[in-house]
Amino acid sequence: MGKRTFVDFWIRPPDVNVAKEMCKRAFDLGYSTLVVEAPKPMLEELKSSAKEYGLEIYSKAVVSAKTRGDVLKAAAKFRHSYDVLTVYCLTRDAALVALRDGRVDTVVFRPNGFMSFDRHMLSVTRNSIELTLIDTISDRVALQKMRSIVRLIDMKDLSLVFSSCASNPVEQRGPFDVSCIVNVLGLNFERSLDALSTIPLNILLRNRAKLLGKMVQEGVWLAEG
Amino acid sequence: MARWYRRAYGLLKAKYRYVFVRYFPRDVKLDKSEIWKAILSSLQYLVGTLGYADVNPYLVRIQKDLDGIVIRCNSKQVRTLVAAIAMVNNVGGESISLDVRKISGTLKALLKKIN
Repeated sequence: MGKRTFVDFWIRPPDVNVAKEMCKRAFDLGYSTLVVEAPKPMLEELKSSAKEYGLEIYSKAVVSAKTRGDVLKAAAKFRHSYDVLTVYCLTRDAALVALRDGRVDTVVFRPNGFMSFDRHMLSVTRNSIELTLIDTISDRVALQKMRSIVRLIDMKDLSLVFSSCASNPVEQRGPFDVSCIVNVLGLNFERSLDALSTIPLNILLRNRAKLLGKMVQEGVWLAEG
Repeated sequence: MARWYRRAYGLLKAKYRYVFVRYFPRDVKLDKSEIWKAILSSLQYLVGTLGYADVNPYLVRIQKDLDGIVIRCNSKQVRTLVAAIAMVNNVGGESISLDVRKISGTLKALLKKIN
């Protein structure tokens, strides 16, 4: 089996200097790909400095959704301009739509929003569920809720993406450390490593191919040469 | 525990892992014993008292030259200890992160790796 490449699926630096520091730290910790929530000009500037460290940068749009309409509007608006589209759901209605919409990549569950899972939601889930490290570390009540979500994910074989959601280098942690946290939350160790490597990488490759026109439809790729 | 004693009474040898932990950012001046206390409280919160007993953490030494500490734990519970270490975000009022730099089966090998 080849060596894993790790992805930090969500960082949100406030400015370019902090972003550069975060790139350096991510490189030190062993990540090879970063997904950054930032304005487009900042991303362009960041890409050149990330090349120094051999990191690959992807863009991410995170949309807070209160209603079904918010999710659909965001999907139509951001799908073709960002590599990753994440929906942060504030209500159960929004979560139900976001979990099954093919244009949405991940649905993030955070303590200030809607953070519970029921059988109906489980049955319609098609997209990956995203949990963040920053909530695990800072919010002790959220940790208990995360435990129950991770147990459901494990039971129903859903796909989980675990990201740092860091806004400064101090909030970043190494991939092994993060996968140990996911492991303690209730997922087996191989799957917790997948939550940081295989699953996010597949999402990124698929979306990049779609944006470049290499993938015509889900599962239909253009042959080269 | 002496080897003959373990063999005579059918006791298993306890296996340990040694973990080297360093803090980030390096320019912050911290009391290393406060780091140890923060790790213990994080561990106790994460897995409770029974889990804590399973991990059996022990502060082996404080490496002043490398700005880090060496912790010993039960080999089967090393992931739990690493998770607890990763969850520490504040020591002595300073916002820091603790990174696990190396894990080894013997102290001698660990010191060889980190030096």
